Amino acid sequence: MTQAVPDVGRDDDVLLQVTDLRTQIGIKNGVVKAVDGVSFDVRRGEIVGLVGESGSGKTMTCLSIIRLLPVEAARIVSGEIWFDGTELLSAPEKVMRDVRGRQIAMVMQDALAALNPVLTVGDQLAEPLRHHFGWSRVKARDRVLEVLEAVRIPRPAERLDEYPHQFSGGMRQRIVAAMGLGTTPSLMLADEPTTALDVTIQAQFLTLIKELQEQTGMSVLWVTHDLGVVAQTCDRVNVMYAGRIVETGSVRRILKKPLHPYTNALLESVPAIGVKRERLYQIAGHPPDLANLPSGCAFYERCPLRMDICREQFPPATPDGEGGTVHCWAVGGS
Amino acid sequence: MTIGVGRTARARSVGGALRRMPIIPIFLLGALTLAALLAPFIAPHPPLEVNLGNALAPPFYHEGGSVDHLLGTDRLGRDILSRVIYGGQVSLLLAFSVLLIGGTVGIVIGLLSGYAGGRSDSIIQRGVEAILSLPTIMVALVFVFVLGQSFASVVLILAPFIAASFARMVRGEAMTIRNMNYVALARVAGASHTRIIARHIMPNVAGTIIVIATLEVGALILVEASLSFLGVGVPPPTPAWGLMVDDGREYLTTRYWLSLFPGLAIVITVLSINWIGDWLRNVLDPKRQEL
Amino acid sequence: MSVPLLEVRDLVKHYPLAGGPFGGGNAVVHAVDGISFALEAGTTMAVVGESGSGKTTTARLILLLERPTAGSIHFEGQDISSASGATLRAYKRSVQAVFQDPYSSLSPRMRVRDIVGEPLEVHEKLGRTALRARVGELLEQVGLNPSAANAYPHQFSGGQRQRIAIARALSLNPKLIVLDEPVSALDVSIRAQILNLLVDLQRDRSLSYLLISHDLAIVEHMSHSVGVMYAGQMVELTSAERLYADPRHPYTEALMAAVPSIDPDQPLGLVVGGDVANPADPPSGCRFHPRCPLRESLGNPAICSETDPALGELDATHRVACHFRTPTGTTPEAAPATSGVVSR
Repeated sequence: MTQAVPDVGRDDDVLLQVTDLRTQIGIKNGVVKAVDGVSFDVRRGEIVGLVGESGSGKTMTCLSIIRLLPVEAARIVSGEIWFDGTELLSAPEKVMRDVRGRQIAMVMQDALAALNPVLTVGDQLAEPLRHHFGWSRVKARDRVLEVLEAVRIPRPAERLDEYPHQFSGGMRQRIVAAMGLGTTPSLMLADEPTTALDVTIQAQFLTLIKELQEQTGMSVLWVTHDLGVVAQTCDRVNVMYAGRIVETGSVRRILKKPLHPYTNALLESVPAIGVKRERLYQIAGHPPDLANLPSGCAFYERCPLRMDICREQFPPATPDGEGGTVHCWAVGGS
Repeated sequence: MTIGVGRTARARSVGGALRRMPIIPIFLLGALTLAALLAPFIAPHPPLEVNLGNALAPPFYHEGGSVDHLLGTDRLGRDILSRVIYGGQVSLLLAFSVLLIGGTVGIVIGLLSGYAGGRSDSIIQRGVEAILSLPTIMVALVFVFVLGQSFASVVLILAPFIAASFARMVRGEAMTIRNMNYVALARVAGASHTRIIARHIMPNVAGTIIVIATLEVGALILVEASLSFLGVGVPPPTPAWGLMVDDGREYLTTRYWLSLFPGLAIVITVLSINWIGDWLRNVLDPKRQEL
Repeated sequence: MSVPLLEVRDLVKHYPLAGGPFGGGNAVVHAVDGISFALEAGTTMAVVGESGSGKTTTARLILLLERPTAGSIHFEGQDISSASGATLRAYKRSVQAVFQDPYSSLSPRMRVRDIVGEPLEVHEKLGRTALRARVGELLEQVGLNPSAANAYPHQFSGGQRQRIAIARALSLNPKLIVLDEPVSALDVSIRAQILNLLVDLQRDRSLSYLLISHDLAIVEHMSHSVGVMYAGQMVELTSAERLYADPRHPYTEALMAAVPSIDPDQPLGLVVGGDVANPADPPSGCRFHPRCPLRESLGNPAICSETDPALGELDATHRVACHFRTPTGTTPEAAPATSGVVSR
């Protein structure tokens, strides 16, 4: 069943439009519906959050966009992804290679894994530039220095010839971001880029990305489970559960007036500094079994507002009045 | 990945692995082992019975052969089929003896070395490496010349090599496991070193041990065959596959059956064992437990 | 005044760094460099810090998984830092632990029953039936079905495994449980369940907790007292209430400011630049000085880079290690922090 596409003008303003994306992973005797009909968009110059826990499908969504699925058993089954005028799912690999790393940059969680330990940082940063633009060594080096300065690596000219292990975790993450930025991409996919970082380093990184985003006007799809990070960086948010989007909206609306019971439960259960609670709100039950998803809403078992219809049918989109939507039978939609 | 996926996928992957059991190698190996064990009952002739009048008889499917000697006879008229069957006894007995002695010693050394770490581990490892760097067959040659050729001396010379092999692998695993949280928690609970090794390290190393053991059996059979081919293995007239292959060397083009059948026995046994060992490694690999 | 349940005095742990190929093997990692604190029975003390702070090493020292290089650990008034034999056994009965990673905390080849029952097997001579009964009880107390005893760890989710780990930690009725990032590896929606369980258990059994964490919100929720660590040293030590109401050390302020609030209208506070100090090569003087916004606003006074500030008393219940934030400091406090990144 298709989810309604959020209400935006279908115009130049929209950089990335994902429609009814379905990605599955084959396992013995069945499939895991990692992404089960996901639709959302990212406009130019905005930061959109994709929020969910493990198994929500947020990472698979990201990887599906650039068609870098991790296992052979994973396939994109259906859907459309329009990026800046090109449909990505049907594009030939040659086109994808140009899109990846040039127009769409990726920053993943573990920076050390993204960096080749036997190449200098300078070489790795220059590589996409030389590959995509055919630049000479000298020209690439200039740009690399520019970008290293932009991500605030101190003394970049000296450190260009150092190896990844000679940098701290926080700096490595910034280097990975720099790798993506060199080609001035229009979209950055950031998958939990700060989860493994110390909180003060994370704060630096968040501030940095926001500044860079303002300077370059690029869009960011920020995948995370941390609602605080979402609050501080995103303009709009999509909340995912069990491979589907259950709620979308502006960051203010979602965090201050959550409509979906899952979003609400998440916000209630996360302890926040300065908010005194006797007992934390706990969500009953456990995360869904992706190999055996019910036909209705996957949150049924754990939902305080559940009704019979929830078990049978996944609720359609109900507008929230501010451009966002919520998929819940208990919230309008009857 | 969520737990649900893990749980169901895991049950399926183990089931799947069990379904992909290598039936043929298991059957072949089973048949050969059974034949070796039941040799006195199923071998048509005594393996040492000499009958010069019927020397070099061809297998039954050739002209001049008979069903009395299905696979023909060798230079001394001894029945090849019976000798191949009895030869299985020798090979398997040798392999298992060496595995038992060498394996036990190696596992113990590996566990202690890996668990203790530090200086003692370094010292032990140097010894292990020294042994591993020696060329097995050459050393066996020398050793057997010195000690005299017998079943026991072959077992004694091969055991240290197996021990070193096990020590190496087990030590590596023991070191990894030693750093796991559950071992730290066992220490926090007050468990003694013995208890930790026995209840935490051993069971988690068991999988690796089984796989190495399986693969080493194959290697051992080959080594035994090589040794007896070179004349320093189990002494004649005991039927040993390698020895039989050597016996038929001069007749390779004219009376191929002297070398072919024992050679086939070696190939089938070792291939089956390796196949099974590979499959076991896949089934027992704990990493398969997480999707 | 009663003796604190746990007291740590000038605890030091140094690890030798392997020298390079040409010698120079004098480098030392100052993992824990002289910390002191006390934990009162029935309370939760949190040790907060980022990577390299020494909080995990502190936990390991208290669990006697490592022996201190210097300093002492006192439990119920007795020095156990070099304990052995019967004293050690008694200590192990009283102090247990729950670690961060629910996946490597349970031996994959042991049944839950054996995992939870192991401490009992080590310390008590219970018959099989009695042991099974105890294990069943413990599993119920942590919210699991007693039938879980027959299963293997891989059949459980992260949250359930952590419950199993907690059941095991409770089996000997310890007085103190060291919780090393108990929920960091769990899904957000599960954390609340486990945290509530821990709080309930504390109340029902008068347990004490030493909570190691980097998550300031969880610390505020659960703790009575807090120690903030940076590069192996304790820089602030006080009650939880005080710490959140009136943090004094610039690093504590930086930590609090860095936590992203879920209120989008509350932006990040002052973001401190630079990297977390390297315990193998810490800065001279005050280890936080290269990144300290207070120092910068005071015009980089020399004392910060020359002298290591001691953990001085602000008052009876609040201690801070800063030249300028204790009553003996010479300069009035700097202007309050503003948002923006401190340049270096």
